[in-house]
Amino acid sequence: MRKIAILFLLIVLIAVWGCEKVSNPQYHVDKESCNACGECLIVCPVDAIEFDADGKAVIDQTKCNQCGKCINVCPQDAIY
Amino acid sequence: MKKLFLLLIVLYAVTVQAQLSSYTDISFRYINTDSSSEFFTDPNDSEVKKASGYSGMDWEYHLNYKFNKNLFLTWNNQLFYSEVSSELRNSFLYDKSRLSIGFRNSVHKLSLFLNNRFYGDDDTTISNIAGLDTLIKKRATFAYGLNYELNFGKLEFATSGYYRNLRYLEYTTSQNEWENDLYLASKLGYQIIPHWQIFTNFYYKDDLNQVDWYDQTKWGAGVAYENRFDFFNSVEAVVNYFHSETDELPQYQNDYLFTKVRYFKRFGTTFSSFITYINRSTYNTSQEKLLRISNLIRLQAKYIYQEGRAESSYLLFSGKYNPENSGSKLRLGVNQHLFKDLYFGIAGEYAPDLYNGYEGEFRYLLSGFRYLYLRYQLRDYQDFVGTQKIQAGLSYQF
Repeated sequence: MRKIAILFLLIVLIAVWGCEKVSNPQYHVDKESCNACGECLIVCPVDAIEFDADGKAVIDQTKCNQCGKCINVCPQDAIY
Repeated sequence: MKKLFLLLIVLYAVTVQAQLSSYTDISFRYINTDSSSEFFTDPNDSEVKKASGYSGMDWEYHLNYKFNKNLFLTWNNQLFYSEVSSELRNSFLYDKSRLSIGFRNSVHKLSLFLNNRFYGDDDTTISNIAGLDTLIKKRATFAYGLNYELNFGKLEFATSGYYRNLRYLEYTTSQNEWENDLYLASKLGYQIIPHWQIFTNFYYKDDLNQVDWYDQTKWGAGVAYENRFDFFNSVEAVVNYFHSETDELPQYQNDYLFTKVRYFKRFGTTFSSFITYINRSTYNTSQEKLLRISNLIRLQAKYIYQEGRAESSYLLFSGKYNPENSGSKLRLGVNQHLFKDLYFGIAGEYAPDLYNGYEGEFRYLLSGFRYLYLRYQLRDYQDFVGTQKIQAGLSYQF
C-alpha cells in the first residue's frame, strides 16, 4: 500500500510540475464539490454554463472564453 | 359509491406515504464598493453608472416531495434583486428555478427536469455569446431535459439529454432572438471484479443555430475504482481517456486523459478530512510533449472540538492548488458556540491570483435548522472591484 502511495505521489509530482501547461487552459467543474448554487451560471458572460441532468453545473468548452469570473464566485471551490 | 371508495383508497395511499420537506432563506444585503467602482451596462451610454453603495435582496425556496417510495418531485427557486448590476452579477434582477419530477426503484431511475432563468430588462449586462456575432442582452434561458439510469447487477447504464434555448435581445436591432443547443450524454459500465468497473462514455453537443463550428462529439473509455473500507476510510478513483472532435478547441487537445482520485479519512468522530487530485493531460504530437490542461489538488480537514445542541464548534482548513487557472487558495475558518443558541463564525481566505477576503457571521438558532443570521464579507479581488457586503437573513426549514 505504501509503495502504491509513493508511486502515485511521483506521478502527481510529474503531472503537476514536470510538464508544460497548454497555452489556453480550460475551466472545469468538479461535480462532487458543486452544490448547484448557480453563481457561475449567472456571472458567465458567454452563457457557457448550464445545470446538467444531475443538477450540477457543467461548462460547455466550445463557448467558454476563459474569462475566469466563475472561479472567482464559486463558494465551493469546485471550479478548476 | 365504488368510485368514491377507490378514490379514497388512492388518496389515503398518497397521503400516508407522501413526504414533504422544504426550506426557505430570505436575506437583505448592503454592498459597499471601492469609491472608483464603475458599472457599465451599456457600451454606448456616455453616463457611466457609479455605485459605491447599493442594496438588494435574495429569496430562495427549495421543496422536496415524495409522492410515495417511487415518485418524487423537487423544485428550487431563487429570486435575486440588486439596485444595480455588477461585474460579478450580470443582471440586477433574475429568477432561476429548477423543477425535476421522476420515478426511481432499485433498478431504474427516470426523471424529467426543467431549468429556467429570467433576467431583468434594463440593467442586464451586454454579452458577446460564442456563436452569435453580435452584442446581446440575455432575457431568459430554458433547458428541458430527460435523464434515465439503469443499475442491473453489475451493469450500469445512464443517458441524459437536454434541449436549451437562450432568448436574447439583439442589442443593435432591439430584436428578440433565440439561440438553441442540444446536449446528449451516455455512459455504459460493467463491474468486472468487486470495486472495479470498466466503462465507456459518449457526449454530443449540437449548436442548432450554427453549422458545425460549435458542435462537439466526445467518446471515452476508462476504469473506475471505489472502495469504502469502513466508516473511517474510503477511496474513489477514475481514469478516463477521451477523444473529442470540435473545431472550437486546439487540435492537440482532442485526445486527453482525465484522472481523479479521492481519499476520505476520519479519525474518530471529531476529525474528518479528504484529499482530491484531478488531472487533465494531453499529448501534443507536433511538439512531442506531454502537456497539462488542468490540475487540481484539494485538501480539507475539519476538527470538531465541542459538540453543541444543534451545531458543533469546529475548526476548518481547506487548501486548493490549481496552477493552470491561477485558482490556488487557502481558507481557515472557525465556528464557535458563544452561549445558549448563539453561534459565531469567522474565516479568512487567501487566493493570491483571485482575491483575499475575510468573513464573519453571527447565527441565532430558533430551533433545529431555523436560524437568523448576520454576515459580513470583505473581498479584495485582483481583477474586479473589491466589495464589502453586509447581509441579514432568515433561514427556515419546515
